[in-house]
Amino acid sequence: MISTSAVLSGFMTALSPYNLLLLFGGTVLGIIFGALPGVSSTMGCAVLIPLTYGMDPASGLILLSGIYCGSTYGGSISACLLNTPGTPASAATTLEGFPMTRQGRGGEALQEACIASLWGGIIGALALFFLAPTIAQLSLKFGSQENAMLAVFGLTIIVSLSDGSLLKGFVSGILGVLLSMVGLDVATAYPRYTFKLTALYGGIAIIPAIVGLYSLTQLLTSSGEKESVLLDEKSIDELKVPKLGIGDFFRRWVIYLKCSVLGTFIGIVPGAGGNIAGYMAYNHVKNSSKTPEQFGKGCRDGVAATESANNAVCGGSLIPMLTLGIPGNSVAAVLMGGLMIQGLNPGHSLFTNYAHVTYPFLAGFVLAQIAFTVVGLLGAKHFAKVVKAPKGFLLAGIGVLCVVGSYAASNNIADVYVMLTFGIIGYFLKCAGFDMSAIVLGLMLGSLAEAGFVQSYNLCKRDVAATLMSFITRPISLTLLVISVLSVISPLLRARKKNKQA
Amino acid sequence: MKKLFAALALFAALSTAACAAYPTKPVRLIVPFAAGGAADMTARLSSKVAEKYLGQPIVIENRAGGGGVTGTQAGASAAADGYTLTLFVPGGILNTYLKKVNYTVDSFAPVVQIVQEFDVIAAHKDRFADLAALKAYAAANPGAVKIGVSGALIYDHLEALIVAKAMGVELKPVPFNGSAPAIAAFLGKHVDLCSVSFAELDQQARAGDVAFLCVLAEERFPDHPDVPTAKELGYNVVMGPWRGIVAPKGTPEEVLDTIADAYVKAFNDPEFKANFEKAGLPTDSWLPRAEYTRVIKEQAEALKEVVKEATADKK
Repeated sequence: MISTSAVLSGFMTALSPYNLLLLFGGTVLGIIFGALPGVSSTMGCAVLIPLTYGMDPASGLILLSGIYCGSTYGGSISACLLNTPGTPASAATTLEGFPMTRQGRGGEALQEACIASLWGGIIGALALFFLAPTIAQLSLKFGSQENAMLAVFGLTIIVSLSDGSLLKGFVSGILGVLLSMVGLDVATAYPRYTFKLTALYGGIAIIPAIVGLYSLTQLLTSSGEKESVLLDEKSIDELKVPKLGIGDFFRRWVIYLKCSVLGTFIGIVPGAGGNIAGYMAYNHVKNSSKTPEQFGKGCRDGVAATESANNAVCGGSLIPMLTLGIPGNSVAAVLMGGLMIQGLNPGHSLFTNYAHVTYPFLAGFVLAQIAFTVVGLLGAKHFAKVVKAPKGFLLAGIGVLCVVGSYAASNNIADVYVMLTFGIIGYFLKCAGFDMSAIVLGLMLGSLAEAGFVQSYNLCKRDVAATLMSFITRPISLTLLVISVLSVISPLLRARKKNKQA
Repeated sequence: MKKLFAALALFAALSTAACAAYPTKPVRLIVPFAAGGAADMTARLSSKVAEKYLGQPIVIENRAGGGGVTGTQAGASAAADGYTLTLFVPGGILNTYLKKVNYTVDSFAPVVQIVQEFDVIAAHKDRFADLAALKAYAAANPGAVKIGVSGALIYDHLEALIVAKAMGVELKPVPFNGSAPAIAAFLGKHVDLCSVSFAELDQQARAGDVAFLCVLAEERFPDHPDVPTAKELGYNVVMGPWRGIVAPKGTPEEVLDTIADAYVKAFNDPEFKANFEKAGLPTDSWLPRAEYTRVIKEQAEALKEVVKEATADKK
């Protein structure tokens, strides 16, 4: 189906000096956007789309791929160093990345994030190049029942995240799900928990919530700590970036492979958005690891898993967008708008009549992975120095970014209040031992779950029995249900086994 | 606080009127929908050309949420100085009837209409080859035919109910969170029908999987001559989203005229026509200020009727 000459000429076009300049420029810009909390990939692309109007379509798309892939990697920088995901996709990276930084291994964490992101991006890009039409058909099979079960599976991850207390994990998760109910409901547009504020009709936006729960909470927590810098003196001295060898690129290849495939598939599912991919990959790696007790204390495998998964989502999200016109997440939607403005409608013709635009775009996408890896690896030790800054300046800077980032997402001042509320509540919850990740997961997945269940109910003619049956009779839905059950049981069984051995 | 500042700014601007006529700084255009969608594209493409004639950049601000409520509300409460415009669509009017909002149609002063699109009912070719087949099946199996819509109480939801009523059958609307999931559900055969614009499913129709059953316009589209209008099949339904620019009520007349003038010049610009054609949008459905004001008044009434009719036999 793919003509080699088209692919080759695509690469030749992407490697032209002008396009390479756009690619690197876009990637650097993307990394910056990604690293800044609150400024997301979606916003980065949306803001720069007007710049692409005057350009040749292929060049414009290459610029946008640089931003997309760069920002997805960039999110890991602040996730690892400041316990603040720069983009929602990197939320799971904080789980291991920040503990690593606290141990003085921040540079190592960034390096791992870079390598993992490279793997994830390349595998996602390969899927896009070679398997797009086949996989796209799979994305269509995800109906409401499948979305509901996928959300349920995502929620069961809370069990494995809640090492400390299962009860607290559940409460956090339920709190997140409850918060996702704010806004107009899917089926009847009834305003729920909006307190007559039309600004809340769209629900609680994920970006201000994450900025509040992570950034602001961390800011408050750090303010309360005695040290004058973010880490203790000893850790700073050890803030070295390990020498990079070829072996480092391949040591964790099993994790990279598995999590990238997972990420690609999550990217393909239209309803999911890519943000849960990181958590799912983390969950998988933790459950299949021989040393699960290492997780949460700075385990490099964790960063490898989350970062490869979230970068694979980039490629995955473009698959249904290019072939069927169904964007896998909000960035793909912006890119689709960018395509359609140029007169390129998604579908088969993109690969035939418009091959001279599409193949350079795809080639640029592959090259973008290399671009951010180069920047990331060269910059790792410099980025890591951020934590050496005097705490006062650092935290003040983060505070400003929190406010600006939350506002910039939707130009809605209500988002800033959301961020502040979440930050303050998050601080107290954190003191009480509750888990931010569980709340975030609940928030991300609650509305997906509800929409899935309610739509399934509607589609099954409002018959409860028929609806329940439909979850079991559909193969994908059943598979996800089984996986969810296993996902809940296996950590519990393992804990039981450990207690028996002890 | 914001209003006070705006009032002061307006006062300052007026008192130096001799040297500074509108516009002296960039103008914001609030688009109450997500970036990348049809409304967003319409706004961006037309504003890109209009800003040449306006003399200041027109900056698009996406404020999605609540089916257009959040952004439209923000536009209604903005200062009436001509520096904040809003993209207005039928949903903006519908929201005043169907949801609890703090603005009304009268909170706005219409400026221009950019485009009027007409929706098409699409089905899978192997299921329903034409509208008659759909009607026959739906009549024999009430409630069995499902039509995906992009949200509860959104324009195409009501459209589906109106079409069903005109045909005298029962179609079951299934609301999704936006048009992309609705189209995805349709393509995955989880629902049987959906209402789209031609551009959205053009490729699939060419490939032969999707059939356009009827277009809800007055006349057949020149690019799709074999798709009948609902009207000629006996169902008098003409519906489709129009998109235009409005300003907060109370914006000075000269300012409104300046903006309208810039956009009308843009509509006659070959660059605008080329861009719209490339994006698959009609280039000749724009309306100047007086006409658009009339259209909004008419639509306010017409949509009230639509809502009444559509929700008449809902439980």
